[in-house]
Amino acid sequence: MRNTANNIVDKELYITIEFFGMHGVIADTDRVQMPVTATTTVSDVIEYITAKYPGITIDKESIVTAVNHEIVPLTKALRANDIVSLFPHIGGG
Amino acid sequence: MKTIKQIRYTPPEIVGGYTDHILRVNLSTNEISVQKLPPDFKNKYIGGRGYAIKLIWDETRKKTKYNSPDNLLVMASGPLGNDPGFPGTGKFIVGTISPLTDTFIDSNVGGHFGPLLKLAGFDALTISGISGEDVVITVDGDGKTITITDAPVYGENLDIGALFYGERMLQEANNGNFSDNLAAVVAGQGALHSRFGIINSLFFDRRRNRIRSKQAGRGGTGTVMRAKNLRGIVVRSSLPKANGNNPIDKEMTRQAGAKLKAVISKCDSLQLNLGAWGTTGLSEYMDKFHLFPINNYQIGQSPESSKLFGRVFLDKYFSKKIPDGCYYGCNLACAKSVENFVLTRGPNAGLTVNIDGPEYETVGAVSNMGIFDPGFVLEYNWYCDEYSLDTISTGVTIGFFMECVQHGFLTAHDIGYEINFGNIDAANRLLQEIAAGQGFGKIAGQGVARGKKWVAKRYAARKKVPVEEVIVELNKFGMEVKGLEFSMYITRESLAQQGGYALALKGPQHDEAWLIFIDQVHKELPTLENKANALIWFPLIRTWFNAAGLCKLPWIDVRNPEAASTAEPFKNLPSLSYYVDYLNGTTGSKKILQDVLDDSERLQLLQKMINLRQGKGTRESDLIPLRAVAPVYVNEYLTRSEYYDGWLRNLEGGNLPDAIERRHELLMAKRLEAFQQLCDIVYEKKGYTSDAVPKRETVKKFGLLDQQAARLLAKYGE
Repeated sequence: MRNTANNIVDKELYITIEFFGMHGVIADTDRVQMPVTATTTVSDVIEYITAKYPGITIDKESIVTAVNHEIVPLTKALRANDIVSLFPHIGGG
Repeated sequence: MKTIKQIRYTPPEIVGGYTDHILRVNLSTNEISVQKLPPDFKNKYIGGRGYAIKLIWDETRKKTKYNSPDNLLVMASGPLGNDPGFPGTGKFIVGTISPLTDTFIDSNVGGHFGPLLKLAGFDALTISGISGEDVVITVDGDGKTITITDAPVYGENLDIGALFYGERMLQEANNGNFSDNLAAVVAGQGALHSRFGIINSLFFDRRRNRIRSKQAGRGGTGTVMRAKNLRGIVVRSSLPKANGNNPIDKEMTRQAGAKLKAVISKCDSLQLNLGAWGTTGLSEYMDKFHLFPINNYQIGQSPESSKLFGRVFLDKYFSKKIPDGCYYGCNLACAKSVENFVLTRGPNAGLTVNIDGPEYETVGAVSNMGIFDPGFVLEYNWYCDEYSLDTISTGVTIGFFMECVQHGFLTAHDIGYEINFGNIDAANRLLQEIAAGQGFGKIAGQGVARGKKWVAKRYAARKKVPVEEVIVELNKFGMEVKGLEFSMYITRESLAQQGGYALALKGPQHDEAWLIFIDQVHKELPTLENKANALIWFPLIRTWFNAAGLCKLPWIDVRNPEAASTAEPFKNLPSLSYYVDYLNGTTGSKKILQDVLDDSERLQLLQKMINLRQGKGTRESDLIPLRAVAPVYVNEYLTRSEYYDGWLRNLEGGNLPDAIERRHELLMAKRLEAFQQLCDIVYEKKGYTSDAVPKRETVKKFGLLDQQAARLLAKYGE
């Protein structure tokens, strides 16, 4: 994790993580905030979530990640006030 | 029960997934016969949907309607149905001429009926004719008899429905005991009184120790069953289910099944988690991306939607930790259930029932009526199943009439009471009336396409305006194509899905092409060419599942991790390779995926020819309502004006018209233009003319140019 207390550029800089599906059930909330630095990526968000909520397991190979409603890779760098969404592939019944 | 006709037979054995025999019952003459199929039949028409298409093509005519004696009701599994070693093999297809579309409809359904029918000796069952009285057919593979009897009468409360009636029928067929060696299909009184009646597939669930149901929901298959005065069919076989297909290469099928089960076991709980909450989990994702149908598809997202998210059903209603597969061996196990629910509405208020479902489509049907009450979802689910009404068509039709009232095309006087979005009492009342064939239910039970004509005629007479002008308006928001009501996805922001619904041969049902996420959300189909290719590939592979006797969910809704490293991850090709192995291991073939797609193309083409013959095969029949393409009214544009303005800027660049009305008109024009361009590309790639008629050489290439096809094509200049 890069987001230790020492490397937070500004404690006012946060992103919002939206939970869907079983993630929301386990976290018992629809969204949480996470502090970010200049180097925080989507991949860091996944590590943050799984550390904060041990019941959540995320397979990076199969999760779909979006920032501000646009699909992005795990390497996408984040900026303050971004909204990060994590959801599975949906192929339709 | 009085025996009307009985024959004895020797159940043909299954070899390589096939018995090579079909059972034929003519209810007009009570003739029962067992037909051996010619050797090349299975090679050309595969099974399931393919068999139904071929039989309907050969044995019905242009003038055949759903209630004509020569209409066939075909039920067929497929070569890969009936193997607990592989996930999702309980599916079978019901195919017939639809009372909604007047052309071929196929509806797939799970449960034990398809596998047991095959174990009893038959790759397919066809029913023709019309009985003079309500009857039941029993296919008894153990007793080696096939029997037509008069339908049992259990009393009014049971006789109007399907679930209680079928349960009693199965119990009595086995000396008062339930058994998983028996299954039944049955339809209740809603199927008698509406055009969107369903067939319930009943089976004994050993884990829950009760009879459960799945539904062949689309297109009025139950209506056809009741039009034949067929109350139910019971099938029995106690042959072993393991290796029931007698595969040519047992080890190959075992390995293929083990690989797919491992992917499901590892990935489902990390992905959609269908094993926990079935398909109800989808409503949350659909709402997020404005795809959740609300108020007759007017909007796709609401603050109230969360009342219908999967977590609500999981927390409050579903029995947890019970693997709910609809057939043995499926570890996806998505057939969820609610036990001991007390009904609060309708004639059975106060009764404690078990509810199989709800599935996402039923949840969406209720939100489409502007209702966000999960308890009503369950009641609606149960009553629709018991009466045998399609939850999708019922919800879309009621939503349509609610919007007619909203815009003043209908009044409370026309209907007999107030009906508006969000009105649970009115929705429930109309549901009950549809099932009983009473009051305004007689009109609503005809579906949206016929409902539009009824409303237009009445409104035109009242306002003294031409009927045609009213129809033009109603066509904008009457959510049907070819006569079939839309399933529960908003397509406005996905051009590919607009094509998916428009070009689906049976009408706008998502099981031929569901491209919303890969198009709208993942943006994996950026060009018209990409979208057209997806509109060809997905219907082909999905059609093959329906021909083979397989459920699609283990493939399409559980992404194999290995797919990430492929060129087109959305096709989930690593899992598909297990299916091809399973096919080759079972039947002894040596096919590759392209062979499977070619087989499927033949079936699609023949279904297209049926559509052409029945008057639903040209470009005109592929038109979709304006609401499926763009916001119909300015106020709908205004609900997402920033988004729509941005969409126009991306397309047009620079300045947009100041007036919102002009921007709305421009959006509609651009969307419709893109839709037509997409159709042009697909038709050309499929080997059709610009009027969507298959070219003669295309039909010939797939070996389908028989005399009927040649005559039909000649009428269109081919």
